[in-house]
Amino acid sequence: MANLKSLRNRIRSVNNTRQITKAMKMVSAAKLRRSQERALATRPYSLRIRAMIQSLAALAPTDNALPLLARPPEGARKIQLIIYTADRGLCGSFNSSVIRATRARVAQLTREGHQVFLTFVGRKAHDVMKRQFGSMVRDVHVGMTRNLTFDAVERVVTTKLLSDFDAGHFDECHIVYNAFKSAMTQELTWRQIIPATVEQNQAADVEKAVASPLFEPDEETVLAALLPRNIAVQLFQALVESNAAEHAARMTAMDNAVRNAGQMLKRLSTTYNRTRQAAITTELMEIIGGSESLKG
Amino acid sequence: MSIVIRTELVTPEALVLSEEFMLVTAPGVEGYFGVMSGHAPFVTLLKPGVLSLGEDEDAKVFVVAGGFVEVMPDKMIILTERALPRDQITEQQIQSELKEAHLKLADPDLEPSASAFWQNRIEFAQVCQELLKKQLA
Repeated sequence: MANLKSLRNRIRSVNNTRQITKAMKMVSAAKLRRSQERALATRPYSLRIRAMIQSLAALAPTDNALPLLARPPEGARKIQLIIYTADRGLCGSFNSSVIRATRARVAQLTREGHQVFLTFVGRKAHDVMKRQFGSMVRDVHVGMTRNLTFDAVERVVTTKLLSDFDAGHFDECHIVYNAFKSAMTQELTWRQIIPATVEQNQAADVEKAVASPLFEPDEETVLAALLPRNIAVQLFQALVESNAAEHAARMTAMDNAVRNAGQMLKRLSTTYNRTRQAAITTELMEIIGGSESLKG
Repeated sequence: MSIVIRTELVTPEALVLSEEFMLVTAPGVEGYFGVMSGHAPFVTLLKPGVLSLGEDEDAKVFVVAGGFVEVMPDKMIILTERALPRDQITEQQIQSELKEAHLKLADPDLEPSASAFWQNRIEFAQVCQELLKKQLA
């Protein structure tokens, strides 16, 4: 049985840990509320711009005049993945689930003969994957969540991505991030952003609903301007969603940690009290034994 | 048919407003245009300019940085990257934005897609300045 002093130290350290995790939980809860609002505020724009593209793509001529919409060639392609994770850990399986999914996807794409490039938004995935996939890494953007504005994302991530695309560095782009579902759940989401995906039946429905509108200057110009905007907004949306999901995940993880620390404290103090009791009993026995022998 | 048109002003960061107005004037790429209820379906691009919602003195005025407008007979959706309300424009902020944009454009390594972004910034700032001047006059 452990001695009293080491037990006391152990209890103190567990208690300290519990206080830290509790504080982190409170901080995450406060941040979650704010980031959740942001994540939800992005959805209207994103929904509307996608609806506009759907209806336009159905009307526009289907030739490959617009590279952002054109099907890439069959066979081996250059595929760009953008991976969203947190800059910091201690948030349960938030980062690891993204990393696991990315690993699997990279392996699959490489097997199929595609050339893969990776861009990281957030430090964690890069830290883990740089050794294995170092040669594929194209960019790492760290600290994006500190200034969470559309503007910041556009000037750092979007402009780079679009000029890489224009320069022919890749012909397909997918993003992976944790979408914010609720404070308890995140959903790992893959989305193809280049070329833009147009669901055929949905497009047909929209076309029926909206009598062909007037365009100024014309369909193609409008569509050509919409597509890069859509990419910008999707990149931004992924970041704010991922940010909200990160705080939610951290809050849940820290809540569990606080609970576990509490249970551990309970067990430890039981052991501590028992040990103390045993020591007192032993001492008493010794005193009684001693006085009995003197009477003798 | 209703005499007002439901108007939504949306930026990537928020749904700025969703209200009903008699008249909306917006800066289209081919010139300013006005929209009232019952307008024909219409889609256009916006350029940086002044968006005014409502009439005369009561109008809510924003400077927008370009975007898209979709007009339906009873509804109008304005998508823009940035919408700055008139009363939040300050000379100081505009100056610093202009300076930053000019600085970035002077950089020879600037990527082409980034230069369009900063060009747009400058136009946005110029519209703000003009609006400020008009207010003072």
